[in-house]
Amino acid sequence: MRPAQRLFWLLLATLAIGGISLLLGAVGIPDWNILVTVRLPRIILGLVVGMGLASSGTVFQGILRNPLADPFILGTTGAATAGVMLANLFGIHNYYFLYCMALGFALLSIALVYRIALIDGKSPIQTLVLAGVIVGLFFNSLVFIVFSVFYRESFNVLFYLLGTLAGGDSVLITVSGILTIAGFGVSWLFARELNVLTQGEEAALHLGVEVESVKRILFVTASTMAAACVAVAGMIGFVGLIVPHMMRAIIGADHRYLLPASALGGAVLLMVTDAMARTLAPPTEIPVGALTALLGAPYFIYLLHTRQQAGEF
Amino acid sequence: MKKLLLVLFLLMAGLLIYQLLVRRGTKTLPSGRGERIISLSPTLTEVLFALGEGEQIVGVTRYCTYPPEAKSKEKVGDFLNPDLEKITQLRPDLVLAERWSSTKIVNRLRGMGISVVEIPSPQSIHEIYEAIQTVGEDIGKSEQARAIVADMQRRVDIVTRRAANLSRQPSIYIEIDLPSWTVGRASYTHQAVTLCGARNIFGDVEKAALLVSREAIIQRNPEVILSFEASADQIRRRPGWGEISAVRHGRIIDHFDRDLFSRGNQRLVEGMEKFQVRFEALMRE
Repeated sequence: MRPAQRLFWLLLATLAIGGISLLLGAVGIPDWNILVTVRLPRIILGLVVGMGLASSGTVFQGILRNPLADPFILGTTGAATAGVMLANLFGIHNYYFLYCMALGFALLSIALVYRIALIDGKSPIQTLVLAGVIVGLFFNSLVFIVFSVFYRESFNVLFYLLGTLAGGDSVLITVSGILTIAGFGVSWLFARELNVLTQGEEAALHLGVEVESVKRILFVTASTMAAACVAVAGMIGFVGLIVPHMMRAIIGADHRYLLPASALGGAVLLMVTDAMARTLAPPTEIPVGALTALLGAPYFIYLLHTRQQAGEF
Repeated sequence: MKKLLLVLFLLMAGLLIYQLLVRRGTKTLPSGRGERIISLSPTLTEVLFALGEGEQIVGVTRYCTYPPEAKSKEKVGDFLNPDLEKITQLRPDLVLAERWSSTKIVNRLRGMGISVVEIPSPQSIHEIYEAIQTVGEDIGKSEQARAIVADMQRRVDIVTRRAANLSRQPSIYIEIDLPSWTVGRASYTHQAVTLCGARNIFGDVEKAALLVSREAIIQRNPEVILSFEASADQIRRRPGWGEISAVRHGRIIDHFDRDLFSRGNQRLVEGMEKFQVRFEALMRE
């Protein structure tokens, strides 16, 4: 099958799985009211977040040339949590305001990481990754300090540490959805440059790619997608790390196909796991982040053993 | 890729079958004229039952274990993650929540047109009275609420008078959770223990709950230890704790029902009475 054909089937599967998951949840097959006001927005949120995380992961793995890169590698989650915590300390519990704080802090941390890594107009990859890890750790420790000092006031930041799709409000889903789709679009426009960048920056430079500016654009784009996902769903791990690898094994390393395939793959993985999270032990929810790994890891191991190119990128 | 998609669809089919098989009879109930209340807080569930609203409760959290009747109510998840679908399906006409825990869900519920009353989590005994009163007013049972508050006040008075007979106030360390979470002055647990005649060694801290270092506990050398989680034996075995007065004299109150002292409702006074009995017995030895 050609990559384009595979993409088409993947798209159909995504829609079908979205449809089936409408029938799965804590109350079984729900009445119209629950279906429209609760379950549909949640499935759309799963689609958006899965897509955003997987696309973001694909771009990060491409520009950083690091198979362990994921959307949170640059400390986005810690910063988002810190933003929410700050709002809590001042007694602000408005849902939209918290979202803005999470998104704002996540974007702020990205600017900070880039600024730290910028030396002589260039930002070497190792420095970027290191700066990201350090900024992330810094915000995380800030969160834990505030958490231990203001135990009660900061209780609901737990949500940002334990990712879930349960809380999405349709306005926020729309905002995050637009950011994610825009981010995906921009990344896709740079698919060829990404292909060249994965060969190494020097090679890319020789092939006429303006490495620094392309890197900056992709960096901001991928981070924005990650921030949009974290702000609305908290930290859901694994999707952004593993889906790009899976899709590389299935559809190849050409980012023109890999990016959309990852977006769809991420959406499918998250929709399926969230359906499990809702259904397995009603009415208690299982943290969806734990299920993504439970489901993704065995499949990834299978891929590693059957297809040697799984680790390439 | 075919295999992957096949596996995914089989999984979804499996989930559908699982859902049909394990579904316990959670029928959608018709919305009648009677009140249908969902409580998203164990504290408020207890208040509702005390107000005689047990019948009207249609949903509670997993942690609502008291009174025993609460256990048989439909569960809507826990307070951090209540299940929206479940709540909607139960068609409540009133959802009661505590303000500190469920902000997120409250917005969504209101957006769906469900009326939600958020009760501020009480931090002091006075605020417990207020919370009970507020719940009473919200469900049209102000009279009963006033009676519960009056009963509490009367019993708190008795405890306070009895404590006045103590010749001094022995110091106490209250361990509400591991490793060493305790309460400061801004909590009703502190107030309750103080009214019983004990002196909280961390009563100087202007906070509800705090994680203290074990060194500080050893240094402040409490004469009594009240523990909700760790057993007396575990506390005795902690390194360096052998020197603490409470450990040396065997004045450790363990296996104390934490709900009596941490739920912030009418049962606090029951906790005070029970605590006072054990506390005085220890001090007499």
